[in-house]
Amino acid sequence: MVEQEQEQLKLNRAWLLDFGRGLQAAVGIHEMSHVLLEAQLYEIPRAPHYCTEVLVFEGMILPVMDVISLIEQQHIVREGYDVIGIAVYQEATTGNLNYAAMHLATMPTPLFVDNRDACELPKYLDYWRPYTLSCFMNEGRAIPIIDFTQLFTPEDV
Amino acid sequence: MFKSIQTADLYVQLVFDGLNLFIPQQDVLSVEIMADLEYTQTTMGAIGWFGQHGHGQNSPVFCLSEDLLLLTELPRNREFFILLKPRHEGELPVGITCDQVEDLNVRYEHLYIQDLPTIMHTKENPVSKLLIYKEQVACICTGIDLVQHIVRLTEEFTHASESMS
Repeated sequence: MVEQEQEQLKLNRAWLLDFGRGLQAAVGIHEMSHVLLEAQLYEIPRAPHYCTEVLVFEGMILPVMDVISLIEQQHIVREGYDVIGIAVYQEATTGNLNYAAMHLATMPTPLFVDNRDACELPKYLDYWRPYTLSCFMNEGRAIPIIDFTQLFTPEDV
Repeated sequence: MFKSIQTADLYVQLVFDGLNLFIPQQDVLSVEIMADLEYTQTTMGAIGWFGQHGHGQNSPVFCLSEDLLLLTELPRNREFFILLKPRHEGELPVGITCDQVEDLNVRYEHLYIQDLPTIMHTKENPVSKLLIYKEQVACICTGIDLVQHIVRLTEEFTHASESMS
């Protein structure tokens, strides 16, 4: 019985996020608030290339992050299926809970992460390093577990 | 019941190229009609001059696009321009053209102003706040930030013009 419980403790629920163009990452199960299949987006002038849009969600104006453009360091035109994920994270400066949105290529996939699958972040995924908490193997592929606080906090703040 | 009008609640709303831009009313000197503008090509990216404001010299008037970049050709539907107060004494007011202009009190309209998300801040971004107005998201710039943004654009424009000539 105790062994069974210990075994269960090693499993953590998470969401696998697919940003498109082969870019995938995972977050804790409580870090995704909603998924919007349709959303009205508004362009904000002179915003950074990876976050040029906002949407209105429950009366709040939220930034919409384009993770592909962030990682590739240039504006990438999205193609194909696009859904919007609403993330919840703790603000770095105030510690307050905050919401932000991001483009996803597909619906997030729920999965269990086993501690025994933990691995080092491979060199070829080094671009994730500033936002990565840890990494694990999923179906033969290394998946970084990312920190939304880092992702949604600009470097110079 | 008497309600006092708070200056901070008063805004001038400009619409151009589909962009809704709110500027604090206290940062705006006047609203003018395009008929009073003297059109001429300039080396600084302005589309013309306006001199009827009593400051002695003509003020440059600029056209901005929806992404707040300079347009050197005047779009057909620009009907008005506003004059922004200068940043410092001795400087001239700066004009910006628009399709529509309206003044409104954000408190009376029950509009909720939110800060621009920090992730969207850049050195080039004069937008500091956002609000939902008529089921659209509108941007708020202070007059000083907008003038500084235009000064930066004119410097780039002048530099680019000189490089080409």
